[in-house]
Amino acid sequence: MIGAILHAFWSHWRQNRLQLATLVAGIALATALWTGVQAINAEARASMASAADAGRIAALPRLERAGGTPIAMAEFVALRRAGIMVSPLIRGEIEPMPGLHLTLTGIDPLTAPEDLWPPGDFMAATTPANEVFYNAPGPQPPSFSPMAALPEGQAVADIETAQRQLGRDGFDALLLVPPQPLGAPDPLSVVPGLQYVLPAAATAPGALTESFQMNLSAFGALCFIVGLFIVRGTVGLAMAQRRRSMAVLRALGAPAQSLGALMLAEIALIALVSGLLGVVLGYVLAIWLMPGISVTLQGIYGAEVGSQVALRPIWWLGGIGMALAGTLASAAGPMLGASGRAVFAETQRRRGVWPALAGVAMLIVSAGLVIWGAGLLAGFAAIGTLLLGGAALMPGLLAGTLGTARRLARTPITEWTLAEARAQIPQISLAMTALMMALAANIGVTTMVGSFRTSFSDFIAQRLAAEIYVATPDGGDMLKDLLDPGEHLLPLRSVETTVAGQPSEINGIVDDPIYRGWSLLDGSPEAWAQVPQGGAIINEQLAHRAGLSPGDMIALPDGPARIAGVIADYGNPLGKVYVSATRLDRIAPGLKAPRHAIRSNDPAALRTRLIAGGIAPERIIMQPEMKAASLEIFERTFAVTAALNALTLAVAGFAVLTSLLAAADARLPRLTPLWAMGVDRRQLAALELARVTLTAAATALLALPLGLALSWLLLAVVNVEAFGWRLPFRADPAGWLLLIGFGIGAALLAALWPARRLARISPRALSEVLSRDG
Amino acid sequence: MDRRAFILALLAASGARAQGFAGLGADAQGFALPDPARPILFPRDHGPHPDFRIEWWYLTAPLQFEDGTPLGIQWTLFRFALAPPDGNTPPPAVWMGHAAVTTATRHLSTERFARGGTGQAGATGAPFAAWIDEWQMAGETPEAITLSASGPGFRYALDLQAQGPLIRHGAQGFSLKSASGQASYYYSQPFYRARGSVDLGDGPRAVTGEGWLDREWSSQPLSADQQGWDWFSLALDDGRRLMAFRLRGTTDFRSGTLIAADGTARALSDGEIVAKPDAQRRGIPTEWHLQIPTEGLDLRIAALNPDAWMETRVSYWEGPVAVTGSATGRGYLEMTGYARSAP
Repeated sequence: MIGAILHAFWSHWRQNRLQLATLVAGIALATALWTGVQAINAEARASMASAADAGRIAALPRLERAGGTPIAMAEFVALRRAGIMVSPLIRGEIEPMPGLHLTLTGIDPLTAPEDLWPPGDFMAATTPANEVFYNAPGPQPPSFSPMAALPEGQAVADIETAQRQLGRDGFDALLLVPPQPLGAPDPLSVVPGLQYVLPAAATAPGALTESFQMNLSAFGALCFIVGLFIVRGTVGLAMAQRRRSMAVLRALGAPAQSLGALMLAEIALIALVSGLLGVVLGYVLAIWLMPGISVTLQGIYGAEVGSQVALRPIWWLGGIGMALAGTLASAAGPMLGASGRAVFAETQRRRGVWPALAGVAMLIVSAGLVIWGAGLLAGFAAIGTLLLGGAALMPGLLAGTLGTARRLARTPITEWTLAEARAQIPQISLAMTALMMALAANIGVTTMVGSFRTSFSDFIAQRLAAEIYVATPDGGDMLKDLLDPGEHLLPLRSVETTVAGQPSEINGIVDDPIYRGWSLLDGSPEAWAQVPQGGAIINEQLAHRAGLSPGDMIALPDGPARIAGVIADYGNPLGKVYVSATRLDRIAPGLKAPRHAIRSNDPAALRTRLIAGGIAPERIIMQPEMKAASLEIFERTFAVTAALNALTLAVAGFAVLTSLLAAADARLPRLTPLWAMGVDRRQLAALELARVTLTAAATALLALPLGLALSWLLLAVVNVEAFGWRLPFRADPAGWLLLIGFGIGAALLAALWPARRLARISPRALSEVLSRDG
Repeated sequence: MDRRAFILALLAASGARAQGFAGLGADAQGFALPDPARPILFPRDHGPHPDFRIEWWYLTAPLQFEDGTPLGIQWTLFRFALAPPDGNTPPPAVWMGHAAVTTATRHLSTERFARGGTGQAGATGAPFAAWIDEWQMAGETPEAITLSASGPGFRYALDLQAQGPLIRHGAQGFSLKSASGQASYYYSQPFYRARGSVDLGDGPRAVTGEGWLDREWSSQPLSADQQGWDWFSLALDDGRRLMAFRLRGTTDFRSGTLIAADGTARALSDGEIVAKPDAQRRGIPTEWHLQIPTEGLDLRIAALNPDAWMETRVSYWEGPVAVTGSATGRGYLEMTGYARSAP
């Protein structure tokens, strides 16, 4: 019996090769999309640590000697033995081979922050410490090892090796490595003559990168859902077509259990093969998108991510697992239906209003999660229930939309087309749900990335309004003498403390138009004018975590302060409070400004003057460079998002194609009466195209609110839970219209082939259908 | 093999780590080996032993605050030679320190690393001293020492006065650790009376209790089949001290020393020790049934804080324990080579 069943299965696929191909391609494409995103994410994550650390050296506060002379080993040891966690640093230019110029940084992996050592954990390292790690093209000098995680032209070595290479003793600086032990003394009291050097401007928005990755993960999950719908659609159609042979097998005595088990094995085998194919495709996809990703990270850190995609077991096994689990989960329903069906019963089960009710219930759950839920998990659960609810409601809403449109129809043909489109919803609803999911995901993610980019570039433009930023470990007294009359200094000073129970930074600001340009999330337009009167402006992180809003009082070390406003502060983990410079003087008397912003009409000339006046070039940051580096990430995210959008739509279009092809034979009996009434084949094909386009347009209309709800959840719920700041929602109607257009286009493209087949069908075939069914 | 050697073996003897940063992969070749014909000699052996590849200073102290609340502290310094001595310059070395404070509800631990030869970490025999960064163990002799360490969120300083003699384990300090003949030099001062202060971020608070110092040095790695060990140092209320360990391998290897209140020590052989794990926390046995039938000892050991996991780069479990059964007391328990499961 088993042999007979298997033979029947096999002959089904032999007769329906196209269907087998679509099933395999459907699973493979869905898997490819999923694995591709996973691979990019895994690779970006894996490369992130070392890439981040190249930037971290520059971002860490440090101790230097006031005159710039080297720091001796004995002084380093004295600080360590006093209980201050410092780590030595030396930097210089080397030319290990003629023409090969490298900037060499020597660090002490034993005391440096964990993972700062480029090869990874020094205890697990497989290379000896006397090597120099570098990144530069061309031949490799002896005892130099290439390391793609380093920015090009950079080299890193153990401090002793670096000292030998540079031919110098002593250290250039001592990095302050958090966390310091309890009761650590002030380093300047241990070794006089040293000074704190803070980074010239706080860059390296680590939380932004995490946010980017989380959003990419969310996108991966959405791709997965789209993939599931496609698999379900394809398997469902295959099973429907097999119904007759199943009935015959059952009539011949094949037990339902054996049929079910064998179908399960069959679908598992197909899923496995297709999944493997999908993983390979995903790998190709990742390689294709990866250059964008690595450049993205380079934009953030000035460090190159390895541009090679490694075949990590975690994602290729995961991809095959997804293909198997997803295929089985989504095929389970149709398969059980097919094998368990009574021998000759052919009636289609009517679903009635239950899916719609379930959909409404899902949406209510989603709303409930937003209102009462807390935490990231609740945010993601809200997204999941929103999408499921949308999917469950889709067929009903689609029918309603087409029904409404039908009432507006003028000609019989139009009315017939609309009625037919409505009648065909059960056949095409799965494919259209896939299309809707894909469109909703695209609209949601595009809106989110766009909002992210606009908000952040506005934010950068406001925060980095001054033309030049200078690190001034001595307090910047000498700066004043170097300025032209038109230029003025803004000292940037802050102390760290606890405000409203949250670790926070109190910043003292002088009254300057630059600050009034910072837009407020909350508070009156006069908020900045209240700062000189003793008021305070806080950042959103502090407002969110401590539940504060304008008008509330907070306790500062010198007394209470009324909150005048709340400002956005993307990518910063700390709470921030802005008070007047005079008030900061009361809080921290004698506090010098370790950084200065300078307003200038000719920043390039000012830079030259500052350097000529004895300020080291690496202590000066020009605003345009900083802005460009910060904005690069969003441009790249956009590029990757666009590519993924196109692919998701292509997969959804493929789902539409397979469902149309599968339904093509069943369409003929519906169309032949029109043919008999004189509508020619070309017109019939056009009507079919119109029907699919109408259905797709209605689907796209439904996808818009779903996509917007999705982006709102990502911006206003998930991001707040994950990072403490909310991104303002920026509408992009042109972008949405474009995406909707693409969605309809994808469906239209998918309908072209079946329509072309219809236009060329022989009149005899139509006559046969007419005489058989008519 | 002894207990701490497992940590060193992780660093020194296995797989890719063998060629690691520290170059610790070199086997014992070129280093000195413990020799039963050369027993431990004081005061010579209080100082460091650069001819041996690995060496450590280990102090654990079960304590209590003035209100009787129990806690414990750990202070550890390891030295790993990166190359055998060449007779002229001192061989390059890496030093690693671990420190922890454990109460019933909190376990704060941290670690330090330093390269040898810079003064950042080191040790001397006379005066008796060992240090890394601001952590320090120092005295004229091991008779009376001060001990201090700090880390994120904690800080402690203790005075330790020996109330009994130094104990040489095994044969005059030659401590056999496996059936295949691996050994180390091993001595202890198990009779410290401790007093000082512990600050858990809310100001220093006075503490008193007992302390136990271990000094050990060797050059040999663990054998391949040994996955870890369970090690006990117990101060019984009747004045006796008990050191016992079990090395888990294809066949377990047990050894120990029972020290009478007057300091008379008797080595316990493999067959004399029965150690059975009881309750577990996240896959780690934090309660034990320890028996020395030949001495009539039948002890129940329970961790003060079952979550005393050392979140260091080489991670393991170490924390204070309470002893009940045929004798009462307290001590320290160290367990290595366990995979800690998710909470």
